[in-house]
This record gives sequence, structure tokens and C-alpha cells, in this order.
Amino acid sequence: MNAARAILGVLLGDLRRSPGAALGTVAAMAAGVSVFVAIHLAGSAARSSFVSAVEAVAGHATHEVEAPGGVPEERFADLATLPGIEAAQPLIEGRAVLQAVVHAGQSTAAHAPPLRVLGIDPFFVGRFLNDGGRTPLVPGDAVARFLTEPGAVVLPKAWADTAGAREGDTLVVAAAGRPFKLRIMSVYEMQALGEATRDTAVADLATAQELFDLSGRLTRVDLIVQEGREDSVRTALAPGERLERPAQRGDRVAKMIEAFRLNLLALGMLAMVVGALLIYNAAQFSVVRRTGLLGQLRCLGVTRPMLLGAVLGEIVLFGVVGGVLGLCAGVALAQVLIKPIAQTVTDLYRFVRVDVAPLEPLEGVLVVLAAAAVAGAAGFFPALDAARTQPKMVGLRSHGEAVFKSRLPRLVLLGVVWIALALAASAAPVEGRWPGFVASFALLGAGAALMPAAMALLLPVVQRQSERRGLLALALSSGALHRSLTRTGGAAAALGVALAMTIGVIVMVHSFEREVRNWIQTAIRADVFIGDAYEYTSRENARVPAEAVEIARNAPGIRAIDTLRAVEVPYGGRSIRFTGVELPTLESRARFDFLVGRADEALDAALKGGAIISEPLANNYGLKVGDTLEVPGRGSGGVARFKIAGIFRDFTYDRGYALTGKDAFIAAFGDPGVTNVAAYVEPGADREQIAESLRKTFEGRFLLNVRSNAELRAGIIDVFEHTFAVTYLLQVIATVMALCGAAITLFGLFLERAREIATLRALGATIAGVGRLFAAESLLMACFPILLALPLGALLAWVLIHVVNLRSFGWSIGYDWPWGQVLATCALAACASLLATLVPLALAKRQSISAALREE
Amino acid sequence: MSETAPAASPSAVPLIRCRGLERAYGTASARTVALAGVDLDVVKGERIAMVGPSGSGKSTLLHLIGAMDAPDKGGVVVAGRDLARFDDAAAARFRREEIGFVFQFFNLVPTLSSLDNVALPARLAGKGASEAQAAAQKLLDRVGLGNRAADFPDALSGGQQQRVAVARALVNEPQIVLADEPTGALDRRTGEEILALLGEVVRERGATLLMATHSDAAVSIATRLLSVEDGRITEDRALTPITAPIKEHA
Ligand SMILES: Nc1ncnc2c1ncn2[C@@H]1O[C@H](COP(=O)(O)OP(=O)(O)OP(=O)(O)O)[C@@H](O)[C@H]1O
Ligand SMILES: [Mg+2]
Repeated sequence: MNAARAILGVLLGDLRRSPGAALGTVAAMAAGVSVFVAIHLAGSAARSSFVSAVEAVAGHATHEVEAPGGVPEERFADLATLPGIEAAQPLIEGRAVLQAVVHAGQSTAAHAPPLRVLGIDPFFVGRFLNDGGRTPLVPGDAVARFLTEPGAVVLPKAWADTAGAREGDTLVVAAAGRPFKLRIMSVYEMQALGEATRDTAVADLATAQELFDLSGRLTRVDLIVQEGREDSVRTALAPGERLERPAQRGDRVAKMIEAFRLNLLALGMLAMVVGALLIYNAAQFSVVRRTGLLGQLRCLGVTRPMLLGAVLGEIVLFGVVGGVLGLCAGVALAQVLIKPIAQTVTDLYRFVRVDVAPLEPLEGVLVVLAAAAVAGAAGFFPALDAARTQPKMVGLRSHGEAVFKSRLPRLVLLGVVWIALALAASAAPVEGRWPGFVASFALLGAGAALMPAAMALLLPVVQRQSERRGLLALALSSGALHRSLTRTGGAAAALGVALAMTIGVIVMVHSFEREVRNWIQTAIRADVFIGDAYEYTSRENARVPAEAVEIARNAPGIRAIDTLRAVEVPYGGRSIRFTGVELPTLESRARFDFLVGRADEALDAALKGGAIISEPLANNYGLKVGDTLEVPGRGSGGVARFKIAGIFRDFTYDRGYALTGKDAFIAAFGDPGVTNVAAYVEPGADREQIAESLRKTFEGRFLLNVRSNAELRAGIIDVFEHTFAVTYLLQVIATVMALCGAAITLFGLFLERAREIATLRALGATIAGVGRLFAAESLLMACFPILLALPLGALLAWVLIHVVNLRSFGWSIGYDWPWGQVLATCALAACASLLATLVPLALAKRQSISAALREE
Repeated sequence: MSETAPAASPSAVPLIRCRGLERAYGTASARTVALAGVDLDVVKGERIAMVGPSGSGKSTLLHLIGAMDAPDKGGVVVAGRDLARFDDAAAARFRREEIGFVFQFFNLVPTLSSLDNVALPARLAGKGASEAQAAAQKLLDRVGLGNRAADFPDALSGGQQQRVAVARALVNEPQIVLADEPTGALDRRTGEEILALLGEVVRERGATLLMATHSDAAVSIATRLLSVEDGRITEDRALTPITAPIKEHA
């Protein structure tokens, strides 16, 4: 024990002499850990915000009854009195957005997070609250006012503080496409509903119905069903109604972002691969660098196990320090990631307001342990080699490198195995997204394994050729890189993998964007679009008020309008979008790009009660033309049936959507109100002008978003770009990390060779000559990864497009290779690598030759 | 000021002329004086052995003459050129054209073969690879390592590495060879071999040798002996009267 401590002391003392190496090792590990932690935190925050919101409001409910378009109000009494029901409560749920606060007659514009409004019946709610109703939601003496005063709400204190509102004030909020006034009856802590409901206000059922324009309907009915009576309740349901557990709804909601989250996670894990490579590289080098010292220790009589223990102990210590630092950096990084992630989820799925949850202590410990384990694993083999070899041989650093080089055939073999795995996975007849991810990982693994081997093979060739051609700097630098292959190989592999990921994603996004831009030309045909101003926030409660629809229909210059009604319906354990339209004009019919089915026939069939479905829906569920789409609705047995007449391209809903005629839609789901209006102008009329005049007409009365064709197209591209913002951000992080790894490696190489460089200068090399040497070395360090990344990135893009995108989102995209962007990325990497030489070069310039030569 | 007068011969213009060289290291509070005023004239063809206790300033003097360090005071003129006027490029050019350096620890570039190590200064001077390698091969043959041209430094013994270094120092046919304890890392016999070799090749080429050493054997190849102590030349003595001017000093 004392001996081991003594050896560890020697090792650490050596580090004190060359703190650069230790710093590099720890920094690399911290970088690797931080990315993982950040993505983990940000990704799970988005999911948990979905699930906890559902669970918190569900309280003690064992079941809930829902129906597309809402449960008719009069059904509540029937459901509540069914045998086997212990308790029931009617519920309205929706989101409103604060516009202004009116205090003492004075209205001030105000901002606060969107307010979730729950419409409840105070007489029924108690049983469902988490504390069993001991804390009344509405103070006893206020119940009468709560019930009778129109617009009365009870607000959570935290939200009211943010909004700057007090008891007695009036809130002007946007809901169902118009402004609505709510009176703050009381403000207090909402412990009864739990933390996840910090943005939840409570109103009387009637108030909430009016607020969300849901006259006569309920969002759902919560039930407490006696054990084992579920089936009898189920048989008593009306057509279209469905009984499920709150967890199922939470699950369905969470599944909505499943593909998104999985992609995020995959990206995060790819970034982690880069991190792990950096850790591995740092740990391995830390051992190889000191084989000389280790050899001396062996000569001094240190036994093998002792040496192995000390070396591993040290590297694991590094892992722990790096892990802890990475943890802190990761938590900070998560704060940066969370905003774009929440924005994307809101854009694509439904509103989320997300804060990064603090890291669980246990998770933190696990992460640090994992970092230490990766470091230990990386250091193990070199340490074992050091411990195994004859003391004299260990003394040579070149021996460590030689051992590493003797392993190269094994690395090549590993690379080949990875490639085989990638091929097998992408060809596998397995459904879902796993094959794509496995294939991507395997490709990157192959790249990482083959990089050092390729360098071992090619660097001597480069050296010989450049020597022959008199390219001295290149000859010297390729020799230097080759000599330190343990380090340069790993760093180059990390950079290559990161660049390949970046190129793969660039190609995928570019191909995708080109496809979307093309699609927009066909799909966005109407001249003016009208929607709820808070469409993305309110989602299911988004509405264009009936009055506004009529105004638009009769507005001068408008030839025809198409109304669009939409509901979310459960399908296959998830949720899909169902839309009802009128298709009154030729343009409205021409906007569909049919992949299967003849346009006119398919559209006529859809208007007559059939349906057409989007490509993701068809691909995700294996639906074909001629199949019948069955969803909960007001048909026989509570099922609405639509014969599929065509499949069209669509890039708006990754979970897929179906479209039918307005009448069939209302027959199946009731009339939830118009969600969007598409207007077509008279020939020769100015769209922008008409949009502007509609905006003027609506001002003050409605809160609607009026967009011209061009604006909507731009908006879609915007959302598209938002969506990939996170992807790009992760790419940038991974690439910057890898570049830092390469820079640290180069930096270490240069520092270590201070003496060699001084010798060169003593032999007559100028500073400019040394600069050329550094430049050649750093360019080589970038070149190998770039050469690896180009083919690997191309393959990765192919997998992302043909395996991941098609299988996990159901989108078919043509492969399009953006040379400009790809080359710019490579050039950027090369430039960054060049920049990394500036500091060592400045140091070399300042370093006195005489002093450097003295050091020994 | 040093009591040592410059050893000038009326017939020979000195190749190296040092005047009042001072060099100190460290901060004001912890100052180490390495050279405390050195005047030295060296005539072409001299082979000087410089002895003195460790830390007396021998290496410092060699570095100053080799334009690898700059004096705090005083100046060095080599072949009529004032080193103080050199910028980095001129100093580098001077080092590769006028100076050959042999180090105690060989300092071969580990990624280059013996041949390429020897050829390196020629390549740095802008010679083509084949021309440089031809010259290098000749020198390797001369130092007895013609058959080890393809080997890398880590495959050579210390003595062999130093032979390669000697060859490297001569490849650009410098006027001056500076050697800092060229035998310091070698055993006695090998050291003597290297010294003999160094003396021979320098004489063959008519070059001037300035060597710091602890080895008694160095005297056998030298024409002049300098003793250095505490940053001053305390003794300056001719060893063979043929080529070196004589200057006795008490
Ligand atoms: N870079 C430096 N920083 C501080 N002191 C230095 C530096 N270089 C040299 N010295 C000091 O200057 C003095 C002269 O050193 P120098 O290397 O010239 O001696 P030397 O005669 O070559 O000794 P040795 O025989 O041990 O090689 C010594 O005291 C040394 O410690
Ligand atoms: Mg010395």
C-alpha cells in the first residue's frame, strides 16, 4: 500500500513537471463528459415536462374518458352514475396566452409563460387532488363567486408574480383566436396540484368552456373506477369515446416526441463517441508518454501488479477529476441546449416550457464512474504492456509506440467487423429506427478503428515521398506524427468521426431542405392563410372563430375559402392528426403531390367519406391505398372508418396525418370548430394587400395570424431550420471538441519537442521554417480526418436518409450532396487546426535556443 | 575586466572576435552570472579546447558565438560580421552556413534516418534532396557509418549517434565547429575515438574548432587550451606552436 502510494507519488510528481500533459488529459475527459451530460439533461427535460404535466393534473384519477373533438357535456351525468364508478369529474383543459393586465382600470401589456387553464367543478374535484382535497382549490367562502362570476380564475402565485398581476386584477388573454377577459379571484400557492402545474390556473367549467370556445363539450371526464370494473365501464361508452389510464395519455403524448428525442439522443451519443475517443486517447497517451519512467520504476524493483495498480490508479484519478469538471460544464451546456430544444418541440409537437432539472446525485456519480471506467479501460492495455515488458525495454518510449503499432492489424480487423455490422444493420429487415442507429454507430466505430491504421500505413509513404521531393517540412512532420501514433491516431480518429458526423448531417439536412422547398411549391397554394395567433401554444384549442371565418369568406377580393378542422386521434398507441377540408377550388386540389393514387379520384373519394394519408402515416403504419383506416369516432362500435384513397407527400407532421372531407369529418368527430382558413383571391388581386386589409379588420376583435402565401412558405422554412438548429448545435459542439482534442494533441507534441525544435534552429532553421513545420503537421492532422470524413460522411448521410429518416419518420428524401457546404466544413477544420499552431509557434519564437538545448 | 588579453597574431585576422562578453540569467534578486566579461580572438584553423568547472560559462560562450543566444553586454564578430546585427533569418542562415554544432546528447532528429539527419542542414540550406544525401553519404562513410545510413537514431549506440552528429555538423562545410562536451555522454574509449575523429575531420577541412570539454584527451587534438572559471577566461595557452599564436597567462 505504501509502496503503491510512493509510486503514485512519483507519477504525480512527474505530472507536476509537465502540467500541460495532465491538463490536456483532464480537459479531454471533461469535454467528453460534458457533452453527454448536457444532452442527457436537456433531452430528458423535454420528455419529463410532457409526462409530469399529464400526471400532475390527473391526480387520483384511475381512468379518463376522451373523445375526438371533446366529450359532450351531457355525457358527464351518464358516466358519473355508471356502476363501478367511485368518483367522476368533468374537465376542460387548454392554454391561454397573456396579452395584458388590467389593474384599477389601467391596462398594461404583459408577458408571462402560457397559462394552462383547467376548467373544473369544485364539487367534484376534491377526490381527485393529490392530498385528497384537504387543501381546497377554491377557498370555501369564495366558491359561490367562483361559480357565478364570469371569467373568475384562481391563479398560481408564481405565475401571477411573473405577470405582475394581483388579486382583483383582470387579465386579457388570447384563446380560441380572440382576446378574452379573466378576473383574478384569488392568488395562492397551488400545492394541491404539485410543482409541474406552476403555470396552471383553475376556473369554473363554464368559464373555461367559454374561454376555449367549447360550448357543450368537455376535454375529458376523469374517473375513479373500482378495481376490476373497467370492462363494464368500457361497454357503456358512447361511440367515439375511449377509456384509458392517465399514464396511457402521458405515454401517447411522450411518444409524440419519441422519434425526435431518439434522434437527439443518437446525436448526443455520437457526440459522446467523440468524447469517449478523446478520453481514451488522453488516457492511453498519458501512459505511453511515460513508459520511460515506468521502466525506471521497474528497474528500481517495482513489481508488475504494483505498477499496474499505480498507473491505473492515476488514470482513474484523472477520469474522476475530468468527470467532475465535465459534469459542471455539462450542466452549464444543458442550459444552452434547452432553449432550442424546447423551441423545436413547441414548433413541432406541442407547447413545452422546460427548465433543466438538476442532475440527480446518483446520476452524477454514475457519470463520473463511467468516465473513470473509460479512462481505466483506455489506460489498461498500455499499463499492462508497461508492466509486462522487460524493464530495459520499457524505458523506450518508442517501445510503447511499437507495441501500439503491433496492435494495428487488430484495429483493422475491428474496423472490418464494424463495417460488416453497419452493412448488416442497414440491410436488416427489422422495422423501426434501431437499424439506422446501429448502422451509423458501426460506421463511426469503423472510422475510429481504421484511422490509426490508415495513418500508420500512409504516413511513412508521405514521409518518403516528401523526402524524395525535397519537401522537408512535410517529411519531418509526417515522421513526427508517425512516431507518436498512439496520440495522433486517436486524436485524428476523434476529429474524423466528428467531421464525418457533421458532413453526414449537413448532407442529410441539405437534402431534406431541398425536398421541403420543392414540396412547398406544390403544397402551399392558397393566397392567404388565417390561423390562431397562438397556434403553436394552444395546439388542440387553436381556433379561428366562426365570425372571423365569415368575415374572410365575404371579404372583398376573396374568391373562395377552404376551412380546415383538425383533431388529434389515438392510433396504434400514438397520436395522429385527422383533418377535414372542403377543397372548393382547383388550386386547393392541386396542392397534393400524390405518391400513390390518381389525384382527382383520390380527392373525390376523400370528399365522399374516404381519406387520403400522408407519407409518414403510410410508412409508419404500413398503410396502403385500399386499406381502411380505423380510428375512435362516432361510427358503429365507436370506430370511424375511412377507406384510404391515396398517399401524398407531406413534411409538416412527422407522426403522420389523414385528411377527409368536412362532412365526413364532422360525422366522425363532431365539429370542433375551424382551425385554419386558406383563402383564394380573385384573379389579378394583390395577395399582400388583401392579407393586410384582413389583418386590419381582425385587429382588436380577434387574435389571428394572417399570412400571405410567401409568408407562410418562409414560416415553414423557418420551422425547418429551427428544427435542425439543435442538430447543428450538437454538431458544432462535437466538432469543436474534436478540434480541441486535435489542438491539445498537437500542442503537446510541439511542447514535447522543444528540444528537437531548438536543435533544428541550431542547425540553421529559421522561425519561418519552424512555422512551416508546424503548419505541415497541423494540416496533416486535419487532412487524415478529412479524408476519412468525406467517404464516411457520405455513407452516414445515406444511412440517415434512407434508413433513419425513412424508417423513423417515414419521409423519403432524395440524396443531394452539397459540395460547397461540405468543403467549407473541411476547410474550416483545416483552418482551425492551423490556428492551433499559433500558440506553440509563438512559444517557439520566444524560446531561446540556448535555453531549450540545455534542458535534459 | 578580464586580465586576459586577446591572443592576436599580427599576421592573422581573427575569425572570431569576442569583446567584453557578459551574460547573466535570472531575475535581479536571483542572478546567475554566466559570463563576466570575456575577450577572445580565434584565428582560422585553431582547435581550441575549453575546460573549466561545471557552471563556469563554457556552454554560454559557445551559444553566444553560435548566435543562439545574445550577450547582455559586449559583442561577437565572426568573419567580419557583427552577430548583434542579425535578425532571426540572418542568424539562422549564419548558423547553417558558418557553424557546425556537436551536442553532448547528440540531438539527432528521431524521425529521420542517419542519412537524413546528416543531410538535414544541407536541406535547410536549400540543397536538393539527392545532392544533400550524396554529401551526407560521403560524410557517413568518413565517420565509419556508411553502412548504417538507413538506420534511425534509436537503433544506434551513443558513440554511433555522436559520429552521425559529427558528420551532420560538417555537411555544410562550416568554417567553425562548436562542440559542447561532445564526449560527455560517452564512455572514455568511445569518447577518445570521437575526439580523434572530430580533430581529424576538422583539420582535413581546415575548419576552426571550439570545444567545451571535461576530457583530458581533448588536449591531444587541440592547438590551444582555454580555462574558464566564474565566467572569465583564466588561462589561455598554446599547445602546439605550429598554427596557434602563443599567449601565456599567469
Ligand atoms: N537559462 C538559464 N537560466 C538560469 N541560469 C542559467 C541558464 N543557463 C545557464 N545558466 C547558468 O549560467 C551559468 C553558466 O552555465 P553554462 O551552462 O554556461 O556552464 P558550463 O560551463 O557549460 O557548465 P557545464 O560544464 O556543467 O556544462 C551556470 O551557473 C548556469 O546555472
Ligand atoms: Mg555546459
